[in-house]
Amino acid sequence: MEGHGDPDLALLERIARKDKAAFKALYRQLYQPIYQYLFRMLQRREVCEELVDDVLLTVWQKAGDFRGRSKVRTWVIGIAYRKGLKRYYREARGPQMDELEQHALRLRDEEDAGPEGRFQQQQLGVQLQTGLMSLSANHRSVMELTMLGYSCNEIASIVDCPVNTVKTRMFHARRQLREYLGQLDPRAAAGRGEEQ
Amino acid sequence: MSIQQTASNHEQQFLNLPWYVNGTLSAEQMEAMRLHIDGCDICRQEVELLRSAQSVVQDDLAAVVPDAGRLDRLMEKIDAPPRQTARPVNPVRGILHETRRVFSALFENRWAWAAVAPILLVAVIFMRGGDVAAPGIDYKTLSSGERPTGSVLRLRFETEAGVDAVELLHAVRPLSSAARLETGADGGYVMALPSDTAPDRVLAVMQFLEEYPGVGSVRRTSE
Ligand SMILES: [Zn+2]
Repeated sequence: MEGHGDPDLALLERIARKDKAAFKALYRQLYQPIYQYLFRMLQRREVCEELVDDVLLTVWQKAGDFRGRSKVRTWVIGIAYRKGLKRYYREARGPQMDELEQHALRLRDEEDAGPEGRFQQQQLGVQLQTGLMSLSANHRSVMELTMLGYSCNEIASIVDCPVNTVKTRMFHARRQLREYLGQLDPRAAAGRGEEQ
Repeated sequence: MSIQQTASNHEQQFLNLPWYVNGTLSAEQMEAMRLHIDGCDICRQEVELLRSAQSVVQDDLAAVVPDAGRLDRLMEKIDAPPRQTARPVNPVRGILHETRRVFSALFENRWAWAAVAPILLVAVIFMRGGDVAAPGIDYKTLSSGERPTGSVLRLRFETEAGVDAVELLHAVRPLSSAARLETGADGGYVMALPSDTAPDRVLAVMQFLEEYPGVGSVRRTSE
């Protein structure tokens, strides 16, 4: 299994025996990746800081439940994913999407008004950012976890779905992102239409 | 399958491109992908897009260090003895307490008990005939035999293994505080909403469910 050779495993085993020094070590090790993942999802510092603590508190409480089916980090990001998603739907979603749509519309206006090609590179970055935010939560999660360097198997484990579902969600996310960017779908251009 | 054969399969390579870009494919898959991309304009374009998206995400990542007090505060939480959660004042609980007190007094007086028992028996029989569901009690999962009474509209869906139904119900609650979750005999689920739920709320719940990881398509069924 993937747990073999996992640098965090020894720490987690000690945490399961309520070793506080091990918990502090894991906290320092995983704070950043958990925060970064949650920040991509929620975009609010205070909320993310609070949630990271909540995730790690769950790790302290549930360390004994870890079954080694994935790397420790993957398991922890899975906890962050579920907590983050819950918060995303409870708080962040409505106003955030409105703001993003407004932002995207402003960008389109500026683009229309400016000379062709101007700011194109910078704008692509901003458009990609807003494009990512415009994806549905489960498409965006798969996309961002990939961009954060997780393998397809790891993502399947984090979001708790089959590997093929990850690939399908990613495929749709990419297509929506291209559509958002107003680019021609390269597969459509090549006359290929299958989705799986 | 040889690297050359794998490399020639555009569909397969196109699906795997994101994990080529983030470098998490096996060495053999990476090699096959490089071969394929050399000869495929579509995949080359897609790699460019994915690389741009990747740098957008990674540029957004600030190096973060928890502030000094954070871990200490969390350790205090861990060290604290489990909290006796203060129960909110519950009128039902108050009534139960009072009933128990009266019953204790009755049991001490055999004759008083003999007089009250038939009245209680009649009351219990009468109540069983009516709706005894206490308001404000959370439905978690209801079996198909215990569907709530009253006019409701139902959203049917199925989930992949591992989806926590109770967690899903709690996540829906901000959209519809009266939402109830039923499990069907076929292993699917039904989210029941009061029939007077505003149409945009119903749509919001449907969209929420459709986007929830592990939930399949949602069908609205009539009563
Ligand atoms: Zn190709």
